[in-house]
Amino acid sequence: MPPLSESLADLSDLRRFGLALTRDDRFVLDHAAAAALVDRLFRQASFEAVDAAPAGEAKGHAPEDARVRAFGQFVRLYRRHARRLVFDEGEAGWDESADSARDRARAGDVDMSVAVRSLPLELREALLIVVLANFTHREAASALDISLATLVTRLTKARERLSAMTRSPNAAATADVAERSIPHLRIVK
Amino acid sequence: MEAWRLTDLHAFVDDCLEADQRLAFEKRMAEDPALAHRATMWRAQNSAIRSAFAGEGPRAFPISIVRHHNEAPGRGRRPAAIGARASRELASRSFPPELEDASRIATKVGAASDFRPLPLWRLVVAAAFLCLGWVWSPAATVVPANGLGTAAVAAFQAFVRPGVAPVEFATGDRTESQEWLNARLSRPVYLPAAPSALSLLGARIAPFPGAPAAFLVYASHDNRVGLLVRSLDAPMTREPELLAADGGDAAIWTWRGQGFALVGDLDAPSLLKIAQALFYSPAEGDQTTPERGS
Repeated sequence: MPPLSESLADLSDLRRFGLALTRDDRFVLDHAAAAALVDRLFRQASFEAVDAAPAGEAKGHAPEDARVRAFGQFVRLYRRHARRLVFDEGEAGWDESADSARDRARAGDVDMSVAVRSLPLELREALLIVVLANFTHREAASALDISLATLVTRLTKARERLSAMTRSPNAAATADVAERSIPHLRIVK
Repeated sequence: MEAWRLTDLHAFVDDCLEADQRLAFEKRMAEDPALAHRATMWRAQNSAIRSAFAGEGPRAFPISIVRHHNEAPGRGRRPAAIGARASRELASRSFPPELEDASRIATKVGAASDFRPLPLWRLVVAAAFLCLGWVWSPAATVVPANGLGTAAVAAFQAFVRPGVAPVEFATGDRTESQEWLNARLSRPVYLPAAPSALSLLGARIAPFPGAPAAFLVYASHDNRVGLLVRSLDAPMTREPELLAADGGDAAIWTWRGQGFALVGDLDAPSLLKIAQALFYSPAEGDQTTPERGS
């Protein structure tokens, strides 16, 4: 009897997402390194996908979509990898690059891929899983193991930072005019 | 902006609204230019992100994700409060037509069957993943062996010649060399212990594409050999192997996340022998963990 496989799914989306997610300005500096890392993480994710389903259900968890599960495993593996790298580098936290990245990426002078790479990992993964992998917000929150409100907060921060980093001077002026009419309120849970 | 408006805005920008919700939001945008402006800006941003990463992942990787037999097709889909796109729709959008057919067939087979998969199947599937991994694994991108070899040969030709100081930091002590290098390179360097036939002369910084690398010079009887060390992104450990690089020979291996290239005025078998001595000589526990910037 064949295994009850959903399909031979073409998960090139996951590879594209993985390549975009793993490239940064600190540890994975070029495409070849990112490709090698993604392939290695994805092999691990595949094995865990086989093993994790029965365990999750044995605990009474609701069955999850295989695609969400695969992305979720990839993200967790990458977070673990990133933490280990940061630990090896002797730095304080895996998400601390935000300020220095913003310093490096001054307003209006970086292209989109550079701007995305300079986002902190938690913002980058939220944005890329929605935009590149076309996940719904609920699916993205599930894959990233965060609440929907947290996802929306991270999307907002990511998009605002990208806008600040990538807009041209003219667009920046237009946006400033527009943003003056938009009240900036912090979302409080 | 209120939280619910922000949530709806993101859902609109990311195409997560149902048709009626979408219409309602478009009406709200018509009355609120600032909201419309922000939606337009974020949509353009989405397009720019997709374009920026469009070249990524051109290869397609068929991956079989195993579903448990209790997970009948259609069950377990989360309600789409904001996310109205069904997962099936999402998934099928990225499949070629022939895979869609395969998917439908597999789904029917899955729906008709009601047996628990045998553990043997898990093993078979795991073996299949392993095979896929081998096929999938990039052949040459994990370790830039040619780059290491070429850089090492170039460094040896540039620095280890009469009239030039081969090292910037002359020392026979491995730990001192390691500390000196760690103070100058952005990533830690772990040096192997030298076998008795080799004596360390010192270290220097050598050019390497993208970032500088560590270069050590050893004396082996009357000859000198150079060892280029470069941090790589988590390569698998690989034993030394010979490589023809830029008119010379180099022995290349990886260890502890680094690539090594040994070059020198020796024949290829002698180089390989020294490389193997370096590779096998240190016990992992004997290595000193370097401190950055010390």
